Amino acid sequence: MDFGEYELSAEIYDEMFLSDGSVRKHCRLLKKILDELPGSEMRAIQEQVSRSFKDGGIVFTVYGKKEAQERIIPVDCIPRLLAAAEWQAISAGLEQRIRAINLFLDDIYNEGRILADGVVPPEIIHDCPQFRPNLRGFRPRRGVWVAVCGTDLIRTNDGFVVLEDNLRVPSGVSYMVANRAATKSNFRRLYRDCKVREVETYGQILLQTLSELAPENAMDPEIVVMTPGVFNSAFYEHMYLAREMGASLVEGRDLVVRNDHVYMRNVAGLKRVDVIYRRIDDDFLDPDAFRRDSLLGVPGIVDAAKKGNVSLVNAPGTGVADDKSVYSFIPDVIRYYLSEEPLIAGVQTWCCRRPEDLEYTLDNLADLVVKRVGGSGGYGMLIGPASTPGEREEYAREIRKDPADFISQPTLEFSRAPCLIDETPEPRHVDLRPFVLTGMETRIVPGAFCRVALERGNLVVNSSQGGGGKDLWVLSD
Amino acid sequence: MLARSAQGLYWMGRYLERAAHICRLLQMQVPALIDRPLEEIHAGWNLIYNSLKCLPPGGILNSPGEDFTLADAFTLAGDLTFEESNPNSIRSCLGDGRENARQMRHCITDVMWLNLNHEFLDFKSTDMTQVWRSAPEEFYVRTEQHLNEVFSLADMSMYRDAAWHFIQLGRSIECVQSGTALLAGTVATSRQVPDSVNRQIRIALRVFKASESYNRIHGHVINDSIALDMLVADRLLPGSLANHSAAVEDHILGIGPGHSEQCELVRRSAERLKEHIIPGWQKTPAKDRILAEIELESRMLNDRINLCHFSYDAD
Repeated sequence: MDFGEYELSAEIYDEMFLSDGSVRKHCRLLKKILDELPGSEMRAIQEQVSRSFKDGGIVFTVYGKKEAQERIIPVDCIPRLLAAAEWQAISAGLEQRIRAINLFLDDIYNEGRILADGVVPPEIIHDCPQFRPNLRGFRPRRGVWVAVCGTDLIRTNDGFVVLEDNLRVPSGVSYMVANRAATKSNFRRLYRDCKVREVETYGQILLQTLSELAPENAMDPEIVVMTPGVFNSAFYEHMYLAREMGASLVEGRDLVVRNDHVYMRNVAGLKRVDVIYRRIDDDFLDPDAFRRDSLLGVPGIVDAAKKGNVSLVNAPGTGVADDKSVYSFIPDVIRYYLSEEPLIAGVQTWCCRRPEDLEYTLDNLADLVVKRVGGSGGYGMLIGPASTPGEREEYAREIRKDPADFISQPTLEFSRAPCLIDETPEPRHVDLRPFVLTGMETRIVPGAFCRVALERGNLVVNSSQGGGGKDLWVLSD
Repeated sequence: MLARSAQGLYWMGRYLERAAHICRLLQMQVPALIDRPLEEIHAGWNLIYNSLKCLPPGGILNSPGEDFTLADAFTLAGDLTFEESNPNSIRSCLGDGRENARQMRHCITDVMWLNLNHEFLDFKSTDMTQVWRSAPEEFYVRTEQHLNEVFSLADMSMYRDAAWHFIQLGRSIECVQSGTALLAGTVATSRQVPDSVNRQIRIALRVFKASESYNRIHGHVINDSIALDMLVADRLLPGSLANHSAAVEDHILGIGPGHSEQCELVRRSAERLKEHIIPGWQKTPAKDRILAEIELESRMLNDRINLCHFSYDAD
C-alpha cells in the first residue's frame, strides 16, 4: 500500500507519523506490513472485516418499518496503535478522574461540602436536569456511583485531552471487542509480533466488578443486564454483555418489586435479583421516582436500591457529573478531593450561563464548537469553522434565548490515523473511549472503542453522525 | 430461566420448524407442476393452504384450468416463499424465528446464530425469479437442510437445560400441529375425491420423510390405512405424531415445574395429547374426529404452557 500521497500537517498530530514523515517507533512494524500489502489485498481484508460484522449480526438496529433495519457500523481495518507508556499515562489519568467523580457524586448527594466551599457553584448542580433531588442521602454500595465509565479522549499536539465523561450508560464496548476479533484474524502475524494486550476479558472483569457491588448479604449474587428492549440501538451490546457474563437480559416488564426487593419473572416463578446493570436512562428507570409516563421502567426499583436491597449500576443520578456545564469543573473536583493535579487535561470550556463567557462565545462563534449542555451524539452542536454566517446567526439566537443551555469550546485539531479509503491510506480524525470499571478497585481493560470520522476533514466521530470505528491496539512494551 | 427468554426460544423453535414444514410442502408441490394432471396440482395447493389455515392471494384458488393453473403456481409458490405480508410464508417464519433468536442470542450458541443468520441473509437476497429459473424444488430442499442444520447445531452445542428444552418443545408442538393439520386435510380430501387418496397419502409420507421407511417395512404398495397408522401412531418413525407428542412430554418434564397451578394442567394436557394418539388413534374409527381432537389438545397445551411459564400472574 502506497503512503506516498498521505497528507501530514504540523498542526495535526498523526498517530502513525511524526510531522517530518518518519514513522513513530511503535508503529514501524505495522507500517512495514502495510507497505508490503497491495491495495487490493487491503480492500479484501476490509471487506472481510465488514462481512464479519454483518454475519455476526453486530449491528445498530433502526426500527420503523415492519421489520428492523439493521445497519453495521463502518469499520476501518487498519488498527491504531498505542505504545505501552502512552497507555500507562492514560490509565493513571482515568483512574484518578473516576476516583474524584465518585467522591464528588457522593458528596453532592450527601454533605455537599464542595458546594458549601464554593468550588462548584451550587446552582450549576441544582439547575442540572440530571441532578436527582430524591436521591439526597443515598449511598450506593462501596460509595461507587459510577461503576462503568466510558471517557472520550482525543489527542492534540499537546497530549491527550478528555472530551467528555460518559457516566450514565456508556456504550461501545462490544464494538471494541468485535473490532478486535475481526482485525486480529486478518493481521495474525502482525498481531502476535506486536504483543498486543487483550481486551476479550472485558466480560469477566465486568462480572467481577458487578459482583463486588452486590448488596452485602448477597452471597452468590444474581446479576442481570437491563435493556430498554430490542428497539434500542445498542441492543446488540446489551445482549453481548449478558452472554459474556452468563446473566439474564431483562426488560422492565420482567422485573417486579415486592417488599422493597426486586424479582425477575422466571419460568418457575419469581427469583430475587441482587445487581442490575441497567442500560436504560434514569428518566425511564422507575416511574415512581422519575418520569411517571415511563413504560420501560419498574415502579419501586429506586426505593429498593435506596434501602440497599438491590444495586443499580450505574447508580441513578450520575448524569449530573457528565453534564457539559459540570465538565469544566472536574479539574477543580480532582484537586478538591484528591489534592492532586489532573493527570489528563480537559478542554477549555466557556459556560454561557456566565455573562462574560456568553459574550466571549457570541463574539467568537466562528472559531468555537458550541454544544447544548444536555446534548449528545453530536446532535445540535455548532462547529464554528465549518458553519455558514447564517447558521451562526441562527445559533446565536438560540444561545441568547437560554444561555445556560450552552457551553463553548475551542475547535481542537485532534489527531488523525491512517484509514483505508478506496485502497489508499488517508488520514482521518480519531478519538478513543476506554472503559473504566470500578468495584472494590478500579480496572481498565487495555483497549478502547476507537471512533473515526470517516469523511475527509470531518471532526464528528459519532456513529449516529456517520462515524465509524477501528481497532485500537495497546502494546505490551 | 427468565420467562421472556424461554418464550422467545419456544417461538424460535416453532417458527423455524414451521418454515421447514412449508419447505417440505413445497418440495412435494413444485415438482408436481412438471407432470401431474391439473386437478392434482389444484388439489395440492388446496391441501397446502388448508393445512396452513390461510387463504391464497386473492382469497380463493381458481378452478383448475390449462390457462392459469401453471401460471398461478408461480404466484402461489411466491406467496408461500417470499411474501412478507403472508405470516405463513417461509420468509416470514424464517424472519420471525431469526428475530426471536436475535433477541435471545445470549441463550443460544454462537454457531447456531451464525448459521441461522447466514441462512436468513442468503434467503433475503434471493427472489422468486431466481428460484424458478431452474429446479426450484432444490431451493426448498436446500433451505430445509439449512434449517435442520441449525437444529442439529442446537443438539450438538447446547447444554441440556431449560433453554434447549424450550426450543425442542416449540419444535415438537409445531410438528404435532402442522402434521395433524396436513393429515386432517388429507383425510378430508380423500373423502371428497376418493380417487386421489393414494396420491395424497404418498405426499403425506414424503412430507413426513417416511416414504423410505414405509417401503422398507411395508413394501412398495401403499396401503392407505397402514400408511396413516404409521404417520400417526408408529413410535419408531421419527416424524410420527406419536413420536412428537412423546417428545412434548419429555421436554415438559425436562423443563421442570412452572409457576402456578397451570403447571399441573400442562402435564395433564401433554398426557392427554399422547393418549389421543396412542391408543386413541387405533380405537377411534372416525379419523377426522380424532385428528381434530389432537389438534385441539395441542392448541390448548400451547396456551397452558404460555400461562404456566411465560405470562403467569406474578401476584
